[in-house]
Amino acid sequence: MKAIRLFFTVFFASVFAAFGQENREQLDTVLIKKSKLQTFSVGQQVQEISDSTFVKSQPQLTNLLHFNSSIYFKENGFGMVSSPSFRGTTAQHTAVIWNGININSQTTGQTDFNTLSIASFDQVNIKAGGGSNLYGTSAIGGTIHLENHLAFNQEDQHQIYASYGSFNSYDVRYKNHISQENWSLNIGVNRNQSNNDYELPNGKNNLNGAFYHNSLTANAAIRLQKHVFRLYNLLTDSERHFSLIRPTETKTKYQDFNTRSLLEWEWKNKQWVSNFNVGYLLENYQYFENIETGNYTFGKVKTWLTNYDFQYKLNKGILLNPVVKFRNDRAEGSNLEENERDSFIALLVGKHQVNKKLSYEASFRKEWTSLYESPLLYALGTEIKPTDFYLLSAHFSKSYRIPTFNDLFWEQSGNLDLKPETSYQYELGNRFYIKQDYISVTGFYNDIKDMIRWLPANQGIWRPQNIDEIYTYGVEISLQKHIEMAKHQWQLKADYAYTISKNKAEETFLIYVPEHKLVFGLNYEFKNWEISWQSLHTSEVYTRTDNDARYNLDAYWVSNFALSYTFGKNKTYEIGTRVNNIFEKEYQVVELRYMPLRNYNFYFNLNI
Amino acid sequence: MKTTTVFLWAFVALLTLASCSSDDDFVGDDVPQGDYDNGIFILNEGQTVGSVSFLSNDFQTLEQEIFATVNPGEDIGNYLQNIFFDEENAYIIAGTNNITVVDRYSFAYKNVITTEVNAPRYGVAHNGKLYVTNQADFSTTADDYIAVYDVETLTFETKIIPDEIVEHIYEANDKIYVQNAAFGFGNKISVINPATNTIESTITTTGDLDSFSIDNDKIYALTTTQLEVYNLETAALEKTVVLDYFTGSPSNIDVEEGDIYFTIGASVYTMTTAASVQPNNPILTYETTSEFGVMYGFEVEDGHIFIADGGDFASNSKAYIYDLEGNLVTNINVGVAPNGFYFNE
Repeated sequence: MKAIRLFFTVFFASVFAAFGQENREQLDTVLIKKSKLQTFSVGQQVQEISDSTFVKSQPQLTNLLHFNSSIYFKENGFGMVSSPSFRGTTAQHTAVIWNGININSQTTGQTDFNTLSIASFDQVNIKAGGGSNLYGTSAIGGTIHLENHLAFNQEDQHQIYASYGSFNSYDVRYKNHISQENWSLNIGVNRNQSNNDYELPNGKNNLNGAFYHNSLTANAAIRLQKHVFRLYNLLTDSERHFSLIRPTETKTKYQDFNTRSLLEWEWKNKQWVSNFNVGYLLENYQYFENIETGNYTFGKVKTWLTNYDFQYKLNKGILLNPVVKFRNDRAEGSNLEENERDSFIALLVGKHQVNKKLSYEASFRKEWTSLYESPLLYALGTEIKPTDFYLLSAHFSKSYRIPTFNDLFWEQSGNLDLKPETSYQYELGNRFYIKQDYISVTGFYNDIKDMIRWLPANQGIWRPQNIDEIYTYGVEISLQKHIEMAKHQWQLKADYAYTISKNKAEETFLIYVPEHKLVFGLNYEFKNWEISWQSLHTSEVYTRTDNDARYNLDAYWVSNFALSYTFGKNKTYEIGTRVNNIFEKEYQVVELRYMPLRNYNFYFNLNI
Repeated sequence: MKTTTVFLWAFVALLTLASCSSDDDFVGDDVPQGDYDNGIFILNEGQTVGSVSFLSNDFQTLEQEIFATVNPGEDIGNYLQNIFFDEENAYIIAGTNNITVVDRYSFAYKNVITTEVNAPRYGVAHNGKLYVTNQADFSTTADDYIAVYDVETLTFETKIIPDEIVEHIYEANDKIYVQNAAFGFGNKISVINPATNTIESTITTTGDLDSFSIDNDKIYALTTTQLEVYNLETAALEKTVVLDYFTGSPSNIDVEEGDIYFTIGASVYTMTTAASVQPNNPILTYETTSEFGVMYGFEVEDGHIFIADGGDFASNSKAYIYDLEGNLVTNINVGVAPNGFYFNE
């Protein structure tokens, strides 16, 4: 075992040999960078999912979030295109933030949650509610934060994970964290793939649904006295055949290749932290309309971005943070003329911790681009904690979604008269703490204007228009409870969301937004054994915009079960099994797209 | 259920069947040959599954999803594109690469064609053969073809490749006419000799061709800027009428009993076949709650104008029926994205 560990350590650390010398200077003991999310979330709640949960989940980000949060996912069959509905909003109203950078596609305006593997990250955070002031476009329903940790705490950890299961699915992950006082490294590789030919309720098999995903993460940091340099890289490469509803349909497939890189220089003093970063994002897809001919259409976007971020501690209670950003996106594709967009963004955030009981936060953001007029965005949040066990929070935000390159420049259809969609969102939250347990109840109201929708215009050509107006409101309840009795440990987690999402003009409900969603997780540990139970319940959804109930998809209740056994010194080895959809529920998330019935997975996890 | 009761029910059922079949013996010419004779099929493209609505000729009876009703468990496909008929059957073309064959009067499922069906568009039956246009790979028009099937066996026989896009297909005077234009591009009509299954000539229009109609030995070709009238026999251009409207370009030509009908936006215009100047005022502008999905289906037949509104493509929509003076006769509910009217007589 030591040999394996040594091998990995030597292998990856050799790159850093030059910095291997002990730096004897006394440095402040910040181990992990404090993210924007941790610093500025007054009035909103952040739910954290750490990588210990990842072992018990299928690799797709969709699965992790669908079973652990109140976000609803519309999945075109298992592993296929997956889009979220967060607080009753549409696919383009959830922003995905990778180590602080918005990585939603510039062509579609959304992230396909089945193209990201959880193995690439150390932690996934979920923040419900508006956040465009800090995180940019699409942060209307909420934001998903994918984070990698680079600490300076002399770690030397390696994780090797392998699983095999039904439909010839396998998933292998390797991840390490190696660090000294002055350097830190985090390398990860992952591949998962599946034939995905699961049996459908009609007795036939899912056709043309195979996929694979590869990802590589390479993150590193160096500390030189008051300066920290960090480099983050994420590369993903995947191919999915899109499953068919009918055997006669033309077989298609979709390949995507993305790279994301970010280099930052942080300079820290007692009163201020200066952070300058430069990033490069590449998104590239190829869509094969007919896999037999080999012809494809493609889209490609290259983005350069740079941020300068200055946090200044005015006094003990007041933190001011002006940020300027510049970004250049350049897109081209089979149906997109080559076009670019330059945006300049200025924002200011301020937080005031008045005393132990009261804090508030305000932010303003303005974007300038040649292509459209962008509104001034702002947010205001406050938290009052009158006692140790109760917290009252309130938040108001104006957020936006900018038109995508497809909206603006799609051949013959693009509409340069589009303006950004805007949302006004209000929320009020209550949180009760009992030691490490809590229960929270949050109500929200969200009003979204000028929503862009593609509609048929002349000659059968579809064009985007700022036409829709929707409002959503609801209540979210979260609960977490730990019980420890002798060697028995119980952990209970539940999230419930009641959501109403309506089109303003017709007063009809939005399609594919369930009124009720409940996820429930129960974990039980005894000595080396661990049993976990996950269940997901959603109420029926409309599939027709006129809300004709005849076509509604039924409510479903799906449960997964996992059992694992840990052994070895320091719990080095873990073997486990997962049984997904243990009760063989026949369910479809999207009309005629049935999900797998009961299926199995066996895994081996090594932590050294 | 007691055994005696079962017998009783079986007996009643037999009696009913017997009386039905004896009725059939007296079918005369005027008596409907099935539930769906003497009426109009409205084809609904669908969202996940397409459907067919049926409206009786007197507009009094309307039935939705007739295929699903008659044939539970059978799949008609999605993105329904076109229906064409021969004497016995209706052939329903679906974008999901299946052509469902049903009895045109009872709508009972008979068979399905899936061989050499690749992005199918329109079809026509002629002399014991079926001709179906297929656009195949959308990124090229070089692989577009007209597939030929035998009516009796439904076997694929051959394909005709014009090296041009293929769209509408009609039969007239023992020839098959294929529109080599779609989505606002293309300006040809191929003329196929069904005896040899070869393209024997092509007609080239001046402007981009939207649609064409054959009536009374003439081809009425509607381009985005004018009407071009060709002689069916000689293919000689006989007349052009400039159609210049600031509201849009014309589409959906239909020639019916000496009158030409076409649409611009939500408006219908008409002129006689003898006219040499464009009509300036529409005979009707149909009312719709939807600003978009306009004129998704359009047909003139037996003294009425039929308009289908695409709606929002995600919910059931409406069709409108006007008389030839432009007065609304009735409107009916149909399925998702209605795109065509087919008259079963």
